[in-house]
Amino acid sequence: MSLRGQTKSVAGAGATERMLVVTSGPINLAISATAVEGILPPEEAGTKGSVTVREITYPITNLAERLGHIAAAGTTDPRIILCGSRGYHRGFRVDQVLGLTEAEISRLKPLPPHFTREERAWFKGYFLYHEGIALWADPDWLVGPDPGSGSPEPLGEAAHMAVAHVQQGDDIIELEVIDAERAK
Amino acid sequence: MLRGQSKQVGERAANWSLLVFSVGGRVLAARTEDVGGILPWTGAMAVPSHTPYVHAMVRNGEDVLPVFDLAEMLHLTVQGDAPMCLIARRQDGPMAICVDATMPKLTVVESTMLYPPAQPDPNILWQCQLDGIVVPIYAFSHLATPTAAVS
Repeated sequence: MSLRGQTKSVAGAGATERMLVVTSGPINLAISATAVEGILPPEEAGTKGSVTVREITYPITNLAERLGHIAAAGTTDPRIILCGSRGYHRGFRVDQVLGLTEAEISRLKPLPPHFTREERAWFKGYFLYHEGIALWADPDWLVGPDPGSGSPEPLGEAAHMAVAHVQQGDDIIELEVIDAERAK
Repeated sequence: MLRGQSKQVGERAANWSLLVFSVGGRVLAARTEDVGGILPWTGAMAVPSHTPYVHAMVRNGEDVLPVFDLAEMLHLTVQGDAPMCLIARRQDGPMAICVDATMPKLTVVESTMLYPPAQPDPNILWQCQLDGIVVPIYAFSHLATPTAAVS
């Protein structure tokens, strides 16, 4: 279960990885499309700490919390992204979904060696994105259990949830956001 | 070796070429061979990190460098509306350091003018006096690395 057509592709210019790029505070985070199982408007999560879509329960947290910074106040276009990897599922509140992008694998760079701690496991690398960079999150870290805290149990195999691609531009593919009810 | 060359080499080794800059108003220096360039600071992009003093990257065109927060290490705040970016040549690769807006200056000091810091600091090679101010010479090549900790 993931964004449709998300797999690594080999175009004429070389292999690419399809990523969903979101913002959380000052950070652009790229998530492999294979790990993205849905995008919801924030009201779908209500005040509960989780959302259930097709019998899969996603604990919802701020992505800012996962990234260790303070969530921005009053973001104008927040979304909840539903992610899954290796049987774990989580949802994250993000400030904005910037879109899907096809990143050439040859342009994905590892973190510089100056970063020596846990962050090397958090991010598979980075790539140039518009005027800045996007950090490529390791889906196993992003969705997996928090070290030293109550870890979510694997919630079973993911069922399919449709998230449609409505337009494909040069490198950004716009997303249609669907709500949980419609996905059922 | 050509006649007369040894004296010239000896003189060269006796002099230290330094780049003098400031962070939070404090005057600091680094060996010029440890500095890869000076650019306007264009802002950094945060990177969640547990590595001390390395929490961001800066992009300059197609190049991306990790940022070493020297101001944080010194418990200072960079001054000026238009700070500068020093490219430090650390042993594991270049990194960007944000320094005060004051344009860094080049100077040369004789090695006889160098003396060790009063408080041993693995990040400081030597100190010298410039215009009556004690200026620590930072070891950019191994700043805040395990090498610095044991040297």
